Amino acid sequence: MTTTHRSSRAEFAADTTLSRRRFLRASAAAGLSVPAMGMLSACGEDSDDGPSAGGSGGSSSTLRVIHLPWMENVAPWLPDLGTQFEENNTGVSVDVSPLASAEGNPQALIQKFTLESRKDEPSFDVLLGPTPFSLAAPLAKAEVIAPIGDLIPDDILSRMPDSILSEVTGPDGNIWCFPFWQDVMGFLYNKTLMSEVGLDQPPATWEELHAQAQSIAPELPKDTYAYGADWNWVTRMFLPMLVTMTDTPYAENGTPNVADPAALEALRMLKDLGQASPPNSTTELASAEVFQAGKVVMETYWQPQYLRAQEAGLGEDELGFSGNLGGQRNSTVFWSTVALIPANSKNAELAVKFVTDGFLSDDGIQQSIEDAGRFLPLNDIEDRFPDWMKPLYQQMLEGSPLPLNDSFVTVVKDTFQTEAERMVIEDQSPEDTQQKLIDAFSAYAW
Amino acid sequence: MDTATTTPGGAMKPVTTTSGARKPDAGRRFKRALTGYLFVAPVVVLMGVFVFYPLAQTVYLTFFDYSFLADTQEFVGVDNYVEWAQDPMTWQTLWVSVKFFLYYVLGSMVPGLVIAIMIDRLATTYAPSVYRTIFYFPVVLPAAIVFSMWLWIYDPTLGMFAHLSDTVGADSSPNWLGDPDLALPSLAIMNSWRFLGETVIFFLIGLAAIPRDYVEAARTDGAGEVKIVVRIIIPLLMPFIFLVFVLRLRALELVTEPLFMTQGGPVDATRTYGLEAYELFHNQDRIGYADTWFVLLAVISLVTAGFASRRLRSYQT
Repeated sequence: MTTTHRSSRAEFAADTTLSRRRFLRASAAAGLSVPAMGMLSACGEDSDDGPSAGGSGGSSSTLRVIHLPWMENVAPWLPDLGTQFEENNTGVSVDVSPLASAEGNPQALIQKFTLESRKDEPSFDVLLGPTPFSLAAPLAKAEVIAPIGDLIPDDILSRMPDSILSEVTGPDGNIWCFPFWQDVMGFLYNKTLMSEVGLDQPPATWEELHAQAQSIAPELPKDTYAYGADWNWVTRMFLPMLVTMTDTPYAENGTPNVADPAALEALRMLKDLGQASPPNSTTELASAEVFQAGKVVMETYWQPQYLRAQEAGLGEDELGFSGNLGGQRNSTVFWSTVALIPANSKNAELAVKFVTDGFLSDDGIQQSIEDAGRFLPLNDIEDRFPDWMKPLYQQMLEGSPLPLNDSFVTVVKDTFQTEAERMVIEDQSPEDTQQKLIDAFSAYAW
Repeated sequence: MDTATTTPGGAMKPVTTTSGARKPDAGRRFKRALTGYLFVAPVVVLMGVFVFYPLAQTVYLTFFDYSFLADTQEFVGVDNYVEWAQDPMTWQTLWVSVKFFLYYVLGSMVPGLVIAIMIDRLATTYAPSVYRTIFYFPVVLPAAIVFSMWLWIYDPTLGMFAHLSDTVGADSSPNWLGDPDLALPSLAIMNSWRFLGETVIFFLIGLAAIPRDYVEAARTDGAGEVKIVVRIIIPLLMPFIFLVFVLRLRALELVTEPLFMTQGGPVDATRTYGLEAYELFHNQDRIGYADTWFVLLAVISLVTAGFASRRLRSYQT
């Protein structure tokens, strides 16, 4: 019994040793092969596995539509546009998908798309959602995207106001983006709070706002503020003021014209109004939240904030909304949501048709206004907007958007933020602030 | 010299001692070594591809003026290093990062030590794992949730601290993230809270290694609790304190918190060294110069960590 037992154990041990050795060798080889295969595949030629692989070598019946993540919240019907387009265009399939985590980091997106362009492997046929000054301009400069002006149908192009065309036309004269929505800076106010502090009418000009804000501040309850805005963002308070104060809000190099005497006046006003704003205003959109909580009397924001205030519980009868406050000119700042197509795309015409059908057709216009609260870039559709949007629509047609260049990304945004904060928080004089902005902005060239 | 031992089956078999061991021949040694090399090869290859090559490439690019978007690369020698030394933002942002590190180290280590000692004392009485779980919970929360939560907590009008201020009748709540003097400590407080559990766990490990006899002996001799902590526990815990200190050096690289919560403001009060380097790389497309910032930060971190490690070894010996 014992012998048999010992014998079987010895055999088992021998088998185990053998199989363990085999296992060790096999696993070592397998482990080595993983990175080796990765390297080989990285060095090898890409296989041609159809249009979804991203090659632009030939025309494709699959239209790859990608969009920035924020669009999904505003327009949850985007995938339906793909389905409708497939139904109306036989033989075409549409793949609509969001870009993951892209919104917070446009710079990383710029680098990603640039790299794809160099390899001639764009991952999209049309990109929806950027604004001209933040994402489109650097991509146009790097020639990652294609000029799109010749592809936009004439009946659309001829109805686009000059203000919008000026926003999407680069310094080289090319139209680089296809605008389909607009956000327009306007003026919101809380009627209940206004009546509590004895204001019958909202201000009509920046000067009136300045005077009213100073007069009502002492009357307001604790933690309630006369005015709110993202005052450290150049596009959200300074430029809406500047475009009403001068005929030349932008310098020749395309940056805000901070050397204009009106810029100093705007900075002075920004300092006073910024100091009357909620203390969290240095955080983006934070003062809008305070407004939505019923603790800000008046604010400067774009039109979706009116809808968000309603969603937050402020009644329609409690809210007022007007166009941008006046100055010497009736104008405002707006920015378009645009579509971009990659350079050398074989699906460019199909991509433009998708945007035209999806957003600028009769149904598209209706859906964009009713469900997304967006303006559209056509000069003959005023009657389709609800009353609260009409004053802004008129201002948009005459508005002064940031020109298409990458100064906003490279110098304007950050410099303005820092200097405005120095002025409002640390009491830097408007004159010093203006000079620092002139020094920084004048160094920019396209 | 041979001895005998009993096999599990009860039989005796000879065992060869070390002095009498037969050395394996060269072939077997080679095979054994080869197996070992094959095992480490995947790691070496992966480290080479994903760590050493990018690292070498990063150092290489510091000698160039490289623009990714313009696709231009011009050799500039050590100009990037000279510019780094002369750039006022270098020293300004480095100081911000050092201040954050100091706030963070203080804010995480002092409460971490106190809590660890309390949990250690309660270990035999109450469920210590419950406390460990509670304190460790924030560590596993996604960063975006933590940041959003603290943005609300800090909001000077609608936030939790503002409500607390109202409750106690204070005139106004501090502007935590909007005041240049408070913004950086506020970020440090948030980070200290977030990684408090990690600190507590390290200190609990250290406390478990301290013989109970020392504490009992001191107590028998009449030492009070405070004296025991100051004279016995903290000195014996010094290796762990230095270990946590070294691990916290990664705070010098801070990017995400100011990027997400303050964008470097207000008035550059939270513009850390890492954030500035990140923006040089991504916003300004100055890849070579940004790489210089990253490389020199690595050097600074290595020197500091090396110094701390030497101190750590002196405590261990």
